[in-house]
Amino acid sequence: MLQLREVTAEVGGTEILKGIDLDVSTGEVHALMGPNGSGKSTLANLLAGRPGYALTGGSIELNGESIADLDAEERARRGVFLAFQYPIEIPGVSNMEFLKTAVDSKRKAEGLEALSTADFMRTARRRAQELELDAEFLRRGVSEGFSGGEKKRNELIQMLMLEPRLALLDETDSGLDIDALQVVARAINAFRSPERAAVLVTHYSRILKYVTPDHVHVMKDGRIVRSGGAELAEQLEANGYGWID
Amino acid sequence: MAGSIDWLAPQALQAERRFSAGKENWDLEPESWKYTRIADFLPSAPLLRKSAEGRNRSKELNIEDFSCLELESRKLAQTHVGKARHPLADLNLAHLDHGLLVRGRASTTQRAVVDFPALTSDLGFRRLIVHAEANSHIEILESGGEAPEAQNLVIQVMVERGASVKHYRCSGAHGRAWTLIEVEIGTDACYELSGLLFGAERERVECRLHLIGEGASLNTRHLLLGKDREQSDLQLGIRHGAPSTCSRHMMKTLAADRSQLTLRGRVHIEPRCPGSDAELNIRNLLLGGKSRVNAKPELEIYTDDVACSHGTTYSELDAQQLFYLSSRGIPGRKARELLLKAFAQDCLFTGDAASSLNRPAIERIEGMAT
Repeated sequence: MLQLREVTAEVGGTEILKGIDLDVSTGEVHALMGPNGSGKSTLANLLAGRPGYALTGGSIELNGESIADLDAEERARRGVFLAFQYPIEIPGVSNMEFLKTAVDSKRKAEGLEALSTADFMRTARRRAQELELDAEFLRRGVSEGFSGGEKKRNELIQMLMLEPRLALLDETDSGLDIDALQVVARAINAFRSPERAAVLVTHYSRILKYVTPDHVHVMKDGRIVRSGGAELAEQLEANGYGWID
Repeated sequence: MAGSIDWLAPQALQAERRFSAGKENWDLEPESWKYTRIADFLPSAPLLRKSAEGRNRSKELNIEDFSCLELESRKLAQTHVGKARHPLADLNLAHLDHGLLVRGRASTTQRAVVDFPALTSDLGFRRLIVHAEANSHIEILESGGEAPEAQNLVIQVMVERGASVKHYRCSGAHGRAWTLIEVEIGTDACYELSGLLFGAERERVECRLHLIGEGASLNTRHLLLGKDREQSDLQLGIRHGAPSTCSRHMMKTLAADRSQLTLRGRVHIEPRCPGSDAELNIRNLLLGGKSRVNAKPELEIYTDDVACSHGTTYSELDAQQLFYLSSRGIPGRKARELLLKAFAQDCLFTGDAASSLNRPAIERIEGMAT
């Protein structure tokens, strides 16, 4: 599904990614781990097409086609979804209006009719319930006044509603208490399917106790320095990042 | 030349004399006219007396037309019309085409839809008087209707003790429009003004809002939407003239293309008005590199023990919010539309009846998202 070859990138003129190779196939969950400043979030944002994150070399292909020159909207249409590390607040735009607009835009791009408001509301309420968020959240402004945990769960409501093919979860587990972590993990496991893939960017292995990754990668200084299976996360939990060169 | 409403003739004559005394005798504050020329709102040729023909009775039962007022209502209107002192208000009175009186009888509740009939001429002088008697409640919906190419409108509102007036106005002007809104708010009375300004080639709205009774409250919200080469000018003058009065003011602009929008909000707390509480906020969103907004909040305080604040911001559409929306597959135009509507939202009208007046403004905002 996703294929990166020798990807280099810079942000604000500073080179952050220094040659990334990565293959993510459908049905897989990859965990991208590493210390602060190793380039994990940069990679997630680069893949989502965030302005200011410039690809300076290499290739990014989704389902065999380059997405390097596509803007964020077009990448989203092709099934890329980024759960933000710091979700943006948009006062005045209700979650419901925002979600309905996003879902309708996706369906339109796929040549489908817009969902009826009743069908949409039913699905959105169910998704909110799954993430243990009160339906009241859907009426409030996007992430406006939400706690950190509520913001993260709100990101996952969007993921479940939009049903992307590739989900990039940028530290969705950070700042969550143990109950919220389990709720989030359940949502990620519900998202897993043979047609989809997910990349979990995380500092800690604790979420990986609930979401078993197919592959674990360790990033350091803009490169993937070690890859392995789920057991690699356990080694990192026991020994930290210091032992990896 | 006096206006065409006979029972106003003596006052119209006086007004015409004051106006004709010449610019040098007009009491115009230079700061207030810094970005707008008064000449834009003066007739380009001498005005001829108009006949009363063509004036229609208002279709609204609770709105009285100046052309057929009972004696008691005439007297009430006469006391109001003489109060508005402004050269352009004098011009208005001297050549008045059409006047309407909305009267809220004591302890009643009513809604008045103000829609001035169309004029046959390109220049219209109109006046609206709203008098809310004690403990009455009035909702005014002013749609602008079929505004003439050039309009001079004077609105005078009196809110007596314990009464409330909610005033929604969508100017509807398209050529040149000058409006004066004078309001007096009595003891424990409340006046709320929501205004949408857009679409005129040149428009200026001057509000003189006076809290004259203890415990009076005032709430204003204005949204100015500028595009092409439109010029709009909103002058808000708020005078706290009694203790324990409260006022809140929000002015917002969306400026695109080469439009020029001017906002001035001036809160004046008179001596011996302790407990006054005023807040003035101006928020400007610039959409085009050539658009221009002149915003100036002012506080003038002559009493201790008051709470007053003001704030002004200028911004552009938030790039992070735009990215967030586009990362969900929302097309750029739709994303901008969502953000513009969110910005404008708290200045749009609420309530079933009033929100029906929002449609032209919403269409304008949608057009500005391109």
